[in-house]
Amino acid sequence: MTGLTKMYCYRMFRQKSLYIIWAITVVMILLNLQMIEQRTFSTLLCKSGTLVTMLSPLFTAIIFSADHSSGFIKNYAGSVSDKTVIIAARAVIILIQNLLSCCVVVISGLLLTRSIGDTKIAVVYTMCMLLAGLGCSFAVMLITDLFRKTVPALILTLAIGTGILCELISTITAFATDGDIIIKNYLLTGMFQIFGETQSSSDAVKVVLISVIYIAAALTASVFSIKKRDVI
Amino acid sequence: MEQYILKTDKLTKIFGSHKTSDSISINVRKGAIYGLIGRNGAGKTTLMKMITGLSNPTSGSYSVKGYSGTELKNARRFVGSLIEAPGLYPDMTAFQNLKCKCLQCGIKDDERIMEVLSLVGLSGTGKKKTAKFSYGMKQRLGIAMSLIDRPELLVLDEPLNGLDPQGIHEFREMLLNLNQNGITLIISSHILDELAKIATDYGIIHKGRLVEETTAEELLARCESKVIIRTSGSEKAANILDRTSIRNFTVHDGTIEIHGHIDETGRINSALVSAGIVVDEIYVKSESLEDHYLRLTGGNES
Repeated sequence: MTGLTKMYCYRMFRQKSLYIIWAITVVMILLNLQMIEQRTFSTLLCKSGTLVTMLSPLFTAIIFSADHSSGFIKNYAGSVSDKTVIIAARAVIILIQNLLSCCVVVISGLLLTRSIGDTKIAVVYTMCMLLAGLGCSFAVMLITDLFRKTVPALILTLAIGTGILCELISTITAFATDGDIIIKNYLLTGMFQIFGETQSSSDAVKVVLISVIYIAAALTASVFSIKKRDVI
Repeated sequence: MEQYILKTDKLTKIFGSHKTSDSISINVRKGAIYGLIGRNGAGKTTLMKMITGLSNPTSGSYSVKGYSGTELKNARRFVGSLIEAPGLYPDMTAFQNLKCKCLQCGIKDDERIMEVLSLVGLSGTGKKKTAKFSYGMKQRLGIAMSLIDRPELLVLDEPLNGLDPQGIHEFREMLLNLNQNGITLIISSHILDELAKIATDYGIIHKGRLVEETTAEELLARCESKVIIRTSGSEKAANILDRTSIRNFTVHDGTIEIHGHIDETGRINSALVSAGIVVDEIYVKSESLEDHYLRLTGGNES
């Protein structure tokens, strides 16, 4: 697993898309800064936190779908002692990438606002941002492995990360149930959005719990998929 | 010491209702160059995917260096492979692609990368991304990828495809050199003449089944030899042959093919000439690997 993790790290830091995504993040933070009245870090974070949930999964889709589309996976998947380590290594990379992305948001936000604002909100929101980013990224890792083609994986990733999928499912179920069921309250991107607007502790707990469920479910399904399916 | 580096026992792969590999049992001797022969869709690649861990068999088993079942994980690192097209990151250089593989294998020394690049003739590619490589260069890099961890068994799926004659010659020399250095090779190829120049053992697969497994020596002995006679009086010649107790022959377009009797060309020629038949040409023709393969698999059967 160490070898695979090092390999993914080597690949990750040579991907232009990683730095492009971080650059987009900083630009979006700058733009968001113009739209908020109270220029504090915590206020800015509540506006910008969804960037990580949107952009980190995109990077996940790019880096792992390349393994299948290029065929590079053939070079290592047959030689590992247990295919589960491939998922474990990918999980480590997703964690590293999301941590670094959160750091980009935090550092650029603090530098631009120079005022932390509500510290508790800032800390809790940062944690929720990280977990929601991880949850969406792990879900995309599973999607990438299931589809094995870059284009459908990217389309679904964008739909998840931008909340389009969430809105679509919410609209359909609200229509079907006459507004009785609001799916947005149960999907990760929807809950994260709600938390950004309300900043209530119960909403934060929901984000954490649902993120953990997403991560656990995606990991379990990914392990099952990689062990049962042929690599090529 | 284990004589066979790879043994498969009734390996079967079923996709839906289609049996791509049907109870294939092969035995690959250590140090051999094992030629896997079969037409498109015969099941060669499927077999190779199974033995390299890229595909899960539906049933059956196999062992590498004596390791089988759950213990196979101990043998995986001894197997290098190039299955179908080389798997390369297009946005990385040859060095970077190999570096990825080295990191995965735990090889810390970059010297190994330069050594392997030199071995396959790609040491001068520098910063060129593999997206810009020619097909032959990609094939070479794919081989380099499979060699980086010093495998004892190398599985190559149609490695000669897309190479020009010069490339094929160089590739062949490289494979022979690798074999002389102790690496066992399993090679599938459509270019039977090229395979015949290097293979020491053969496995012939047809419609997912192993139809024959043999060594090059046994194949040479088994390949049918014929006496070919070209004459304008083929009908009369046929009658003469019949009278000389030679009956196993065919006649078409002025050519007589006698199965066997390769030590009796003098007697045959003498009998024909004595009967006043003009023999334009008489010679012994041995069955080539291609002829043998076509005969075993039904020739032009679709």
